[in-house]
Amino acid sequence: MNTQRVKVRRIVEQTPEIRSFELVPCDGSSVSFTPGDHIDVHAGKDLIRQYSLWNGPDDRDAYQIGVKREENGRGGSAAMHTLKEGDEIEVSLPRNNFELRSDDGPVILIAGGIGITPVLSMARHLQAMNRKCVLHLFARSDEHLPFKNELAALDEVPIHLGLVPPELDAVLTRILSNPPKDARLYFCGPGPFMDLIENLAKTCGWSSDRVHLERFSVEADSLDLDGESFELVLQQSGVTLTIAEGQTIIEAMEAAGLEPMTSCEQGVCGTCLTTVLEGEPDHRDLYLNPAEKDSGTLIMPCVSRCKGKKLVLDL
Amino acid sequence: MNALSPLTADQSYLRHFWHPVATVNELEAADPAGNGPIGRTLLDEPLVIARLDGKYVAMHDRCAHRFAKLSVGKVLDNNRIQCPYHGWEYGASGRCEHMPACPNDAIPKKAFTPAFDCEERYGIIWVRLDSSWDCTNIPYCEAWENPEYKRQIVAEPYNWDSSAERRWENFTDFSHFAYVHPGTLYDPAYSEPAIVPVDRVGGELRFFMEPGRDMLDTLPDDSPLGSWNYRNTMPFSVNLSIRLYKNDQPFLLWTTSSPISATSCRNFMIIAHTDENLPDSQPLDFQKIVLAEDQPVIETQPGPIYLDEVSLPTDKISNQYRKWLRELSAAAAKGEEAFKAALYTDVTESK
Repeated sequence: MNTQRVKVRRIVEQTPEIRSFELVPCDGSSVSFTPGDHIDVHAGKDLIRQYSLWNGPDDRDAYQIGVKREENGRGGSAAMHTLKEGDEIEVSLPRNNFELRSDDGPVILIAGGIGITPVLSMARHLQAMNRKCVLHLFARSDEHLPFKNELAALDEVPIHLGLVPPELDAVLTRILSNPPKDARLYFCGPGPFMDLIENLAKTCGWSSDRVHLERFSVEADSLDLDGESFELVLQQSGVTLTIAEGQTIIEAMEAAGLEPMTSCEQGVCGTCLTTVLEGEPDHRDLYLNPAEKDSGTLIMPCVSRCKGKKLVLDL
Repeated sequence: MNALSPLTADQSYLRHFWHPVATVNELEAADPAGNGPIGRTLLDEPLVIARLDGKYVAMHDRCAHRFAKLSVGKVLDNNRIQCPYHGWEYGASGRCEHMPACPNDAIPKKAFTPAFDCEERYGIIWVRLDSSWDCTNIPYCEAWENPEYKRQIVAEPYNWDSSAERRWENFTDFSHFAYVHPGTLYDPAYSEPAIVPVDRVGGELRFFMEPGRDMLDTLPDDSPLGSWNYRNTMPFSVNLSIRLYKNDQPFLLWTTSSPISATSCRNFMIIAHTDENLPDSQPLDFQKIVLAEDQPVIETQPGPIYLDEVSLPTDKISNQYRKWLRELSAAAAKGEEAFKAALYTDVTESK
């Protein structure tokens, strides 16, 4: 995977829970991105987290990210909050799953809490292009409102504080009612907020191809299934398979007509727990504890791979 | 559809743990002297529970003679259980000590009913069916340990048509609060649960979580919203020690599910709090509302847990609980040392 080393140039306490980080490439290169991009941040050993960029069109010398501290998260946001200015970390190149379409119609942007980051980048770009856009921001209170300086530089940013259903539904309905045919809707925020907007947009007559969203979830470990090809020997079945790059052991077994016991496909449930007879497993699961992983005798084949060229399993 | 695969092939490991069977109050309700007997079922084993010579006893609920239930008999002279059918009398060891039909004949060696380890703690009577390895303890309960608590309530037990495993998972499941208890325990806006570190310490599954403080505004005053600290003695106990947001006082919700069978359970609950003036009915009634929200849903699940169920990362507590049950079951099949290692090897994730 392509990563680059960046230095934390500036940290800003946006709210009691949210800090923004300016990450400058150590090799002095400029950053290239599109609105809606995110980067993988290697916050610590085995802690890879994705954060959206809130860069404006002219922010070309650093990645701008915002991190909300999740007290009960798995440590990614907590690790990020221990960073100091001057620290160096690894990040991936930007990727986009939340693309700003390049047509000319009016744009409605809606953000809930820390979901502001990708839509802030969109709003800054749209404004620079003189395109019509409104950014609706929902937050718990003024104290919880991040990026006040950046928001002040935008033309139209209605702020909605402390709303809960049914008032929240009413305000969103007002925002979403009577959509012009050429309008587009982009939104990002916590899950229930997203569900609500998605449903209301449907009710208000938005056609689904003009509605764009990025689910912003409580921090979860991103599942990395990448890895090189290796040979897999299934001792009991007497079968040898080649696991292709990016293919899981379970996928390869199923493709070969076998029916392995499996369920969650993300290394959390334990259904496919298997004994390793030979070879070094490359653990990607969240099921085994560190001692079990270190023992090298157990593997979760729905997600885990092999560190060498050959793995022999008791299957 | 293919046959389902149960999480554990062998449930006999559960016999090595202490399980609650009745409250002292129930024994007293059955008999003013508080000696019983009463009948209960634990892991499909029918039990007669009584107090003989001031000590609680649990025996297989079957007279050796014609297999009538001793639990419908009575306690004589505070020290013997008498069978209701022909009057055979049993002492605390389970041996028959008197056969009225032929009082002078020798008592056959087989005239006994198996007795099990039995203890009273927290106003609850506990039984361990298999004490051969003698390596388990009565579950932890904070109610009388923390001097801040001014009132301890031992609730009346309740039965569910559900397994003890399901009941335990239901009590500790963070993802269902927003769906099953909106407005009671949780605000629907918080439907994405936290994924928290889960530790194994001294045979307890421990974890901690802080639900959103904002919910204080929308939840009823009796809702025990606060920082939630779980110390759960395996396999079916939950000690949920809460520091209430509203007044920074401790509040304890303790529950232990007792496996009647693979598909039914009897549930014991202790509530402890610091308000001497609070009528017991108030926290009990609130729990009744919560239970009435859970029960109709949980009773639709099959009793046994299956590997075929689809788990999410947010089901971490259930996933890790199941992992431990599976290890305990497999270890018990291997023997005493493996079982002790599986139960008492600490695994800590939190810092």
